Amino acid sequence: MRRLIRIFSRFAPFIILALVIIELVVTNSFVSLSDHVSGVEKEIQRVERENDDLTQKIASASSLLAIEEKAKTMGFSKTSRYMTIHQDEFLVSLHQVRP
Amino acid sequence: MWRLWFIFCSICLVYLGIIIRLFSWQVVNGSSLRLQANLQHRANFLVPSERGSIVDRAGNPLVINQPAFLVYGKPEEIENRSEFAKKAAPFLSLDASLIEEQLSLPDRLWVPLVHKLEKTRVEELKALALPGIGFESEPKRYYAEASIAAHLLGFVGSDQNGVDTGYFGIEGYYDRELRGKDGRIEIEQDASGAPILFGSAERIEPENGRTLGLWVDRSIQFFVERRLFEGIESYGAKEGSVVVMDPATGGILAMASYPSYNPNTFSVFDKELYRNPVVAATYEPGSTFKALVMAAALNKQSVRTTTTIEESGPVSIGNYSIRTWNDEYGGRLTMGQVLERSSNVGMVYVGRALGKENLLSSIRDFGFGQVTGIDLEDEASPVLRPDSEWGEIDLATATFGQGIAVTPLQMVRAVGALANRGWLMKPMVVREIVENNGKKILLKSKRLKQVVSEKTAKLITEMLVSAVDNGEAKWAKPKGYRIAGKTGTAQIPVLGHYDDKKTIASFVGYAPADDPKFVMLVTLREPTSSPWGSETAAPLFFHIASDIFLYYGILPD
Repeated sequence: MRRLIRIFSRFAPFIILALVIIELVVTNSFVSLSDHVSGVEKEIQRVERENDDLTQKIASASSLLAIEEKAKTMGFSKTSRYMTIHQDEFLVSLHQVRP
Repeated sequence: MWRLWFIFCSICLVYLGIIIRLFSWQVVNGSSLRLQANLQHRANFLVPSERGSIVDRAGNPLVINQPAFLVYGKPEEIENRSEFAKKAAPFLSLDASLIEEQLSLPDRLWVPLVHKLEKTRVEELKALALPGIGFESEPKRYYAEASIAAHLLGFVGSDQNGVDTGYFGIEGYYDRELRGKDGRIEIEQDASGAPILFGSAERIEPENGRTLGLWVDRSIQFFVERRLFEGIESYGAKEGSVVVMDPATGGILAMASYPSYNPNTFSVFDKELYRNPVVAATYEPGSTFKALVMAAALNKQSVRTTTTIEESGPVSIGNYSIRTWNDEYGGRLTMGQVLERSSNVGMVYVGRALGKENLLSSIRDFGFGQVTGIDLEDEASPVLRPDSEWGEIDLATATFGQGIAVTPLQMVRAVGALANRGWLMKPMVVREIVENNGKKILLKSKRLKQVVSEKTAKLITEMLVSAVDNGEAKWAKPKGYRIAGKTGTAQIPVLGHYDDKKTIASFVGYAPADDPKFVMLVTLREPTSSPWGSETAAPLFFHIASDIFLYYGILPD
């Protein structure tokens, strides 16, 4: 027991010094990590804002008003005349009827 | 010896001084110093919640948030305030003198200049690299379809505390669900403001607002608005509205009124325009009301479809004389012909057969005199007079929809019951609420009561189909479709009497008659091309109906 205490008391200062150095190193790396975290959070906010911006642009481009304008410039026009074809009506004649 | 005592006393005095100082810091000024320390090494951030979106039936965005910024000035960092104001003014759309005045206010570290400035303007401002200017994210509401569905959606403004608040429509009614809950971050920070990772941190995540999925189909809303605008122009009407509802669920497929406003720039419009006429304005329904009175009479078996009346001339009630709309009298008429010819005389007979008690209870059963409970902020309802205040002439005029005030929503819901096997539904705008975790809460349709039997609903439907096919509006009806409906032309009461030149023209109907996919009411106030519903509101109804048939792929017979 006395031998153990003697050995411990010989090495204790070195152990304490090592722990102090480890704490200093870890604290220092945490501080630089916290800078990195701050940077990442800012980047997240930037990307979120960009996301919102793109969402708004998509919503605007896909709005019916925008589609209507685009259709007009592409030459589409409104028609009120249309035909409906029922399922039991043939689109084309399979056998040509000769007079 | 005295030297030792002197040193001892000095050390004691120093220790005493330290203890007194510690006592002063920790006990006397402890709380204020702790607060100061907290402020220095603890950072508090409010994490604002994002307001929820509003989407249509197919998930297309109707209302979202767009990036915008609060622009503020830091007076202490601005050397030349006049020059700063002159450069910033064009981008902020403010007077330079006003900016300068704000920056000159005493004891201000920062001064808000403009709220919710759009990103493009902010980028331009940033390019100027003005010293002493700052930007804080402050999202702004964006209504993707501009003024389309403005009355239905409402808008977001600021309350007296500057907090974003929804007003009118869905934004107002569902403000709490859309707003969400702000979060908070409290962390320990170092001298440069960076967070200390192994320090204490408290983070409460914001709860973003929920997304609302509507019954509204934006395509139907779009062409309803287009047709309404065209109709207002063609018929020279002052105002107009259209409401389209799914009779089976009560879901509102479209709701439009003119004149309207753009919620993106609501502040530049007259405040009177914010109110939704479909749910908040009243009108006398005129002959469209005949459909409901006839249905009630058939349901109570006061009349049958085979009952006939003799329409030989006006009906006298006290000092009043009730005539047909064209002062022509058709002799022996069936109940179906009463509706086809829109005979006021015939309806007086039906009302008398029904009786006062049954007539008034039927009017209440159809939901008149009380709000429908629709999920829009500004709904109102005219109050029905107590039964004791209804005289004979009042009952007679009520049978053809005059002397009784209703809202367009009440009217379309009541007729919707005829399209839904007699069942009155609660009208609804929102179909589902989507939580932040993606979970969908479906808002179930609500059946209120069966106001007429299914048999009666079928009978009245056939009569209304016949009214469309053989009535005054038959020329405008799309061919091949069975549409049940009724025209209405109501005189507008002005200073205690009816103005015979000013009318509210309307048409209410549902189609396809055998399996209705929609019930719709069209109203036009004071059309100048013609006062009659058959020549204005009815053709407009049929145009919109044709668009809906095409959209839904409903083929003609």
